[in-house]
Amino acid sequence: MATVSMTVHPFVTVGVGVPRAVSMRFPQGDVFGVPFQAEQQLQIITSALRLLETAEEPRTIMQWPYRWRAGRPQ
Amino acid sequence: MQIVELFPFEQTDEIRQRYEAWISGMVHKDVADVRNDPVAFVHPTKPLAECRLGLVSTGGIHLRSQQPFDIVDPDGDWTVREIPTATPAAEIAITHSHYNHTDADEDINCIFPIERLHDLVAAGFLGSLTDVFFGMMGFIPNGTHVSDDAAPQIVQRLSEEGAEVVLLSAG
Repeated sequence: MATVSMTVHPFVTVGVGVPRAVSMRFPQGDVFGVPFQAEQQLQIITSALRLLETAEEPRTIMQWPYRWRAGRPQ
Repeated sequence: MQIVELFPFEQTDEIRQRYEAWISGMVHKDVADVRNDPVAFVHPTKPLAECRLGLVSTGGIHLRSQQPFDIVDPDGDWTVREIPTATPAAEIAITHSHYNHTDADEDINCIFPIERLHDLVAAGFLGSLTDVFFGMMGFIPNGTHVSDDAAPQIVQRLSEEGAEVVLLSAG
């Protein structure tokens, strides 16, 4: 089974070692996005799942480009 | 839906040193430093649109009808809950004291995107979902309880469910 992980603590993910992961600069309880913002949630999930196809080697960690700021992401 | 491009996360020596300091500075008793070395890596054997996906979360996810996780025991709780993927979101609960899940209590998809994954199957992005997803509570200072107990259990069940790809979320 191919796996992809979500992380808000990428330093832990780097230390432990995973096949592939997406690092989110979001609060721990909001890793998939803002409540009831389905479009954003879908974007996050599809971006993570695409990593299943695009990652070439283990320990691949990619960064979601937007930050969570002032209660909501940019 | 707009495709959002990700960029590489820089895995610097400073990042690695931060992990070493964090794990060596743990104040919980019976902490075990468990690492994946080597890291197993497999490619999906089919396009995502044909794949069966499983979801595993350590965000304290369980059915309201199930026993909540033990968030008092200093050793943590490494038991596993199975959440049927047909479960309505309102029947899913969170028991976890190590992160703020106020948003996820309103919309479980913030941490356990069960409805969004159904949307992706309906849209043809994914082939199908396993009949059950898996929830755990991630405060487990001794990681060997996961590597030696919970993870093999979940892997066995994911295999029985025909999972070909798996989304993992710590919560």
